[in-house]
Amino acid sequence: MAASKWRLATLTAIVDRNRLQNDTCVKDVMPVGPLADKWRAFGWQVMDIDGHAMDEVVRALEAARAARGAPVCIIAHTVKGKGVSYMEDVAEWHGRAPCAEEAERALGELREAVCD
Amino acid sequence: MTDAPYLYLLPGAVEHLRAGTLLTAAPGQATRYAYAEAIVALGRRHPDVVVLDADVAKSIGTTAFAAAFPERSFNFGIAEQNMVAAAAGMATTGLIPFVSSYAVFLTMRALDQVRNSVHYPRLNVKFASSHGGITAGPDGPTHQGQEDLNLMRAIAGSTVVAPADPATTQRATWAAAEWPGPVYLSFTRDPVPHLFAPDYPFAIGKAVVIREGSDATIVAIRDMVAQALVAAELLAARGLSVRVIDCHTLKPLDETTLLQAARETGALVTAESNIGYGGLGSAVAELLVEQYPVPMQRIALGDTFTESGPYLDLLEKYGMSAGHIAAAVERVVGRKRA
Repeated sequence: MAASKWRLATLTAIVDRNRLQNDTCVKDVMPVGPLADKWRAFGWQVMDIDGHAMDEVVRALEAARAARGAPVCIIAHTVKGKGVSYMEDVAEWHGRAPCAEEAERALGELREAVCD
Repeated sequence: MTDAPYLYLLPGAVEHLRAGTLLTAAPGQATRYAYAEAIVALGRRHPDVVVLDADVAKSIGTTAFAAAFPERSFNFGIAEQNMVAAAAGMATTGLIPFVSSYAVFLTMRALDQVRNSVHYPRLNVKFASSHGGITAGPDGPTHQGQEDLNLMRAIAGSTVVAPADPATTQRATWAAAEWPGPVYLSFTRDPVPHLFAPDYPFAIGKAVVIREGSDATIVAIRDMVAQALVAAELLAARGLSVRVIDCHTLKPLDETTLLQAARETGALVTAESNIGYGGLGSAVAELLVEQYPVPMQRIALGDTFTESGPYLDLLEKYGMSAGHIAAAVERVVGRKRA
């Protein structure tokens, strides 16, 4: 409300929409409903993107920079823990730090993915 | 009455003290309005000062700042958490935000942002709270800031100031702008008497002896300084010489002035219109018990919310009037070893 009241077009919010929270899935804890409509109701311009597609991320940020009149919200749909097999889409990893062994395995998987 | 050894008091205030009319007939002003005047003058001097409000600008008087500097005034509506978070952001750009609201809303609704967004990164945000302690009076318990000083004292790196009269409120506002990092200021809803002359040596962190005395010391904060002065007069009539300290800065506590009072007078009473957990009484007790234990008693709000009612009636009903302070002084003096 404040951002649209003062027409903060240079303000960009990015929602990491990974659908998980500390206890479990957002939809089971407290569903947030139509997120884009909610932001629009507060006076924001909204874009939905695939948060793992870098071309979409870059395009959205460029569009946000060019925006006039109202702040911009980018809803980036993502998978939490992306790229680490045992973390992907598992709510437990919202609030837990990996032990040294788990961290080594995660980093190994990410290194492999980057090198491929 | 005796010829009391007052320091830095206005002649008119001394006359009212001696006549027993300080609380009923002396001219005064709510310190929220003194702040509202000071912030306009401060805004003229400092172009970086901005004021953030949350739908009580009219009540506090910061509408005057909005009229003088419309481009530096931001009213967030009833959204204190957003207001404090935005103030943190503004401070990162070099602005000096004065966040104005009621004590209960700033320190409880927005406490997360006050702690994590402002104090943790040590951002230069000033909090200007009205209705501190139980001074909200007829506005009722939902609007009483009876925990404001207590909560703010518990935050790492906080500076907590509650001036006793309009003149020192204006000086506290200017001093807050100069002080590096966050400062919390607590004001009254209701008028307090004009007490201090221009020679009052105001500095954040420096408590001031405003009445000399040798039998005991009353250490008071904000609105309770006036009550403490009246109590000292009552006690003078009963033959007790009582020192009074205006401890306007709860944190950092002026340990030197307080320990000197403990050594020289041998008994202390603290007076605050906040709840008695973690505020002025607690701070002084922690200091004395570790460094110089003397008989001490705390005058504060007990484990209760108050009724709605006139502020002075509430002090009487909940045991925080000048009469209650005087009785507490007599008790601690009685506990002193000969």
